[in-house]
Amino acid sequence: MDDAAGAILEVRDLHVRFRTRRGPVQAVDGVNFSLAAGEILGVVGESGCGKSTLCTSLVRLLPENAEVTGSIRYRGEELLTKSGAEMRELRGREITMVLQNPMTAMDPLFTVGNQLDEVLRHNSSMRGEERRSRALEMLRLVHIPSPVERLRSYPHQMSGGMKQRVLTAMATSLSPGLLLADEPTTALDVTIQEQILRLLADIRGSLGTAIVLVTHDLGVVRRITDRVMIMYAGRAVETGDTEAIFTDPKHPYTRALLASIPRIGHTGRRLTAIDGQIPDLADLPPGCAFAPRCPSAMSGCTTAFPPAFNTGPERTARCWLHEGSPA
Amino acid sequence: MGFYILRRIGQTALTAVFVSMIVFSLARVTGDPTISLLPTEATQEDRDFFRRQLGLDQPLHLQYLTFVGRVLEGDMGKSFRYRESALGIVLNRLPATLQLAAVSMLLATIIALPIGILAAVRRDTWIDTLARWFATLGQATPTFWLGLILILVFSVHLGWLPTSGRGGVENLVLPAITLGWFSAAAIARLTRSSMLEAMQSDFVRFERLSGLPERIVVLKHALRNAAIPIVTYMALQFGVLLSGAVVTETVFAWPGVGLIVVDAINARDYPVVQAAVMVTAMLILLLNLLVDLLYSWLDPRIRY
Repeated sequence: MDDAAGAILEVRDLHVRFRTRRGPVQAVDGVNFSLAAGEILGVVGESGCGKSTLCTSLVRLLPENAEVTGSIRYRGEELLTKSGAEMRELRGREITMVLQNPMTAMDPLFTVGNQLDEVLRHNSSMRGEERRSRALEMLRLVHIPSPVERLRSYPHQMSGGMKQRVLTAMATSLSPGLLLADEPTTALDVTIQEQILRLLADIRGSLGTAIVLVTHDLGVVRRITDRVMIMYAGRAVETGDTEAIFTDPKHPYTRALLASIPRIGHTGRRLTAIDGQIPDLADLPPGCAFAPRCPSAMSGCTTAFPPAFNTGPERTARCWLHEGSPA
Repeated sequence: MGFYILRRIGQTALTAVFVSMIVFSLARVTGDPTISLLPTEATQEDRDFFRRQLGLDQPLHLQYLTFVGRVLEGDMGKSFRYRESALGIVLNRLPATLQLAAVSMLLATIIALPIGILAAVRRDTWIDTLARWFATLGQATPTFWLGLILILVFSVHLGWLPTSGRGGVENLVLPAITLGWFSAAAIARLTRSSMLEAMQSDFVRFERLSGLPERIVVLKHALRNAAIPIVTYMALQFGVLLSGAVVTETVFAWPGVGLIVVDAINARDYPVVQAAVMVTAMLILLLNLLVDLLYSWLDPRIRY
């Protein structure tokens, strides 16, 4: 796969299992990927496929009933063995995150300036004046009009799009190496979504931050990601270059996802939906979890889950259809 | 904001008027005062004369206005028993009640906040279990029983603290614990649930993701967000402590308003009861006004 030396993030055989009253839930099941500095990876899948869990596991902020195994290497350092204090050092400085709902992601009782300042104060050695000018610089970078006044605003005095931009400013104010964006546009209006996406692309351009963009919106993925990882039931079923995957999907699930995108010009036709439902992560069927919904399922699909077969340069798909390609 | 304060003060004044009407009516529905105040052999003429003297022959609304006028001058009549100003008697006792209530509240807060916060942070651990036991037991303990047990243990058996009366700090300890016990348990319980809710917020998650120290996340952000229900409840509890100290004051013979109210009710000394009700009601009104004004300071979203 990727050249490990150039990778900023290297995830190998990551498993996340939640202990619940209903028994263990395998939310992430053997995921592998790597991310080069400044690269944008899209993580795509339906709700409940483990993409948010994957993101949260990278910063080690999963609830206590989660068991994480495998390896997460950030700039060559293993994160899963780091202490709480070491992880806190990393969070906010090296690895940051933007959440889905900007309306609730800021403390309503403190001003924007106060909260921006706090992030800088606890993650850097900057002095008061320095922090203030850095905060202003960040607000300008995310295109907030009249930033000096904005520092004195409370979150409720701003629109959702503006809040998401301020949160992005907070998350990137110390030029992190990696930004995890968990559905950052889902809660916003379509026009605002576009602004936020452009902002993320800008940030990658100006700060060289690598971005993991979690989303279920394929349009978003195609617009700004370099590579995509398609997830289904906690497993990465297909990974590869964004353009290649969109033009020639190899996994039946990817094909089905792409076929379900509504297209302009194709009016009057029913939207294509994927038959069946996503499986219960606490009770996965044996073999490939997509097999019960898969139009190309073969008899062997329900007995064993396939390894990742190479389906092209830097491309893999976990589907028996591609058996014979080198694994 | 200025308008809000004015409106809120207006509401408080209006409530005060209602309270005064209730206090006024209370005295008029408890029977003819000439029967309890004059000897049984008094003639009808004596009674009529007495009524005229007290102004009871006037129409009710005029009687009320006279009453209000007097109250505003600080005259709430003379105690039947002591022949002294009823308001004076109550105000004399007020510092003792205020002191007891304030110390109890302080004690309750000092105990309850750390317990509630810790229980929320260490949810579902033995600390949380212990805190929940404390909250349940504290709220289930009858005040008079707790007071008697404390006296039995610390005054009678151990002889560490006095059983009753008002004096130095040693006199305050047992009554303050007795009175504050319920409040401590109740505030701890509310703090725990309020904190738990605040800790579930997205912003707490975002702050952790942003590398803020847990201490800042919990004590600055989560606590401030959990504060409004806690502060409201604390004010409510303070009102309860002020007006509900009757049992504690009786058990410890604490010379406060509660004790004198019990005496006055037993002696049908209505002017004193009226004065006590009026003073306590005014204090609670003032307290509520203060808390309302505090809200907008606690939460910038509250702009009236």
